[in-house]
Amino acid sequence: MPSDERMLEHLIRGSEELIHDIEIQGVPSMEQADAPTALAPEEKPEEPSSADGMAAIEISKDGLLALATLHPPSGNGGPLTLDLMREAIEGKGINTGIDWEAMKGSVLTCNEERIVVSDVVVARGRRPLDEIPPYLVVSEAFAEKPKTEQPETARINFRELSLFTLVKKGDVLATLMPKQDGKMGTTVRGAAVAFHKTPVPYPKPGKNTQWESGTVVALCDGKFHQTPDSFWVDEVLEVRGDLDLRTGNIDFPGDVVIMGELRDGFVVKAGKSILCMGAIGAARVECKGDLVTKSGVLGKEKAVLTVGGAVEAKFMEACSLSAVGPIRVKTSVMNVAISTKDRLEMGDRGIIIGGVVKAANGVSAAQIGSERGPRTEIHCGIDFNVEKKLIWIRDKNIALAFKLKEIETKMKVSPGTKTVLVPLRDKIRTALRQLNEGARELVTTLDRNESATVSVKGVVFPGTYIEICHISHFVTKPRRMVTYRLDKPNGKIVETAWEAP
Amino acid sequence: MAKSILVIGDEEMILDAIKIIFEDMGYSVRTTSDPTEGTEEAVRNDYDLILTDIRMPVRNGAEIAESVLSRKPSARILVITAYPNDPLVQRAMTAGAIGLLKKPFEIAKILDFLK
Repeated sequence: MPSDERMLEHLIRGSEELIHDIEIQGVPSMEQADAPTALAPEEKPEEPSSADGMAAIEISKDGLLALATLHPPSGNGGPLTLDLMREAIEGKGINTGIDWEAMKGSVLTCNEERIVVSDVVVARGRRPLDEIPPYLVVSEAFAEKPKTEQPETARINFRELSLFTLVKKGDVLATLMPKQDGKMGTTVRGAAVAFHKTPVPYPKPGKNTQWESGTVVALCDGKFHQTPDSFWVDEVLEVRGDLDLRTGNIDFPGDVVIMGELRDGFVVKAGKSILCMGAIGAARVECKGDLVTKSGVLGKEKAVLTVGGAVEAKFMEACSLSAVGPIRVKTSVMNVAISTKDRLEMGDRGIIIGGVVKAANGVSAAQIGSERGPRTEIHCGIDFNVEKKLIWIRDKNIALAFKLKEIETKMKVSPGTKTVLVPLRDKIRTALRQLNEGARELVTTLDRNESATVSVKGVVFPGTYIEICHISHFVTKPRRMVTYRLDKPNGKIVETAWEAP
Repeated sequence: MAKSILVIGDEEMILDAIKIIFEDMGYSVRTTSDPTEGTEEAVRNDYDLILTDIRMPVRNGAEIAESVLSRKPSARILVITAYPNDPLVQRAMTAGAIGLLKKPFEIAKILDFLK
């Protein structure tokens, strides 16, 4: 009997038996619910019904997989056999990729344990292999590496974080991967399945690059850049030794590389990034891109660094640093005034002692403050550039308010001056109004990051002041392995166990 | 009704500036350079925010906070300081002051606490 008919018979028989049972026993009512159920004396238990074992096969929509549900025999019915399986498989028109081995075990289980076995693989088609047109792969040495952390220690791998990749003329920047041919697939019914063309997205070669027998090479020495769409090389201004009296100050529209140190009293301005292989002294640095020093900053309380991108250094001491991007310092930040729209991330053993750190998205360090050292202030959660503008407005306001008072006093003492001073007073009042309007507008743009945290893996010493979104917290006892976060509903800073930021 | 601010400090110029800025923004501002008078005013009337300088002759900001909050625990006091780690600031915070302002004052922070 074909398997479909057998299934139907199984279904009809089962349903009829069920209806029959209900007719005999009647539908139970609420009153009957708790009454003990006893068989009528003349009633005998019925013989179980009998049905042969059977298999129901389903083919996936894409035709690449056939699965079966195996039903065991009931009563005195015959077992499910491989012949019955073959019959069902043929009935479905399956002729490719049949997995008899997988089926054998399942049929045995179904018969012996008398259980329904589902999702038994009957046959697998062959997936088509997509055609991949040729694509470029950027050389590993230059490819952008994601920020990685070792899970156990959440240690930042500073070696992988380099923001400044220098290349030499002729360096292979990318290699062309050959076309991969597509292959047709087959369904479980033996029908052909067409393959697709799947291009791999890759960045295209840009400025200062050249094709050279299946590779793309650098046309000049410079800084390597990569975006998802393109990669290129920017020529850099290279200072071969220290930046000092021999070179003078620098103002360059592109990237600047200083192979030596940046000496005290000098100024470097770059339209893009700055890489300094040595230490930065009491200098003034301005760049629209990143600032990387392979050493650190020894600011002598005179260095002022203004950075449009990210900052990377081994240490920082006695300087003022303002950055838009994240600041990553490996070992120590001591007596530094820092402000960033992003985070200050210290290395695994990185300490922050003294100074004022303003980091909108938070701070992570191994230690903040010290036993007898200067006090440390950490402010998070606020866009400090907007705050700076508000401070400017405040200072102008104070100055104007002072002038206004002076004028009013003068007019009282010498009424004759009124003709001259009244227009001036009105001007000041207008200026004050304009300033306050500006302040009101700025406050609305003062983005807050209420999830900014201060995470300290080692010790936070007493005397450390922490502020998140304007809410204050004083550290009064040494704390170890803690994260400070804002508890907004209660308007306070709470301390929780250390978490990797 | 406009929200109200009481400012207690000994620098007239700063008091004037706070008054001009926040009145211009629609707040009602009362200033005083007499800490004793300021303390009594803070208890007598309801202000949405009270700002007090921490270091003043006669009476410091911590004493003002303690005196006001012992009699009016609902008062919301911000202390103005040059040094957040000043022990007087911590004393005022222990008494129940809700935060601190860096000298001379911080516009954004004051607005935050007035929200």
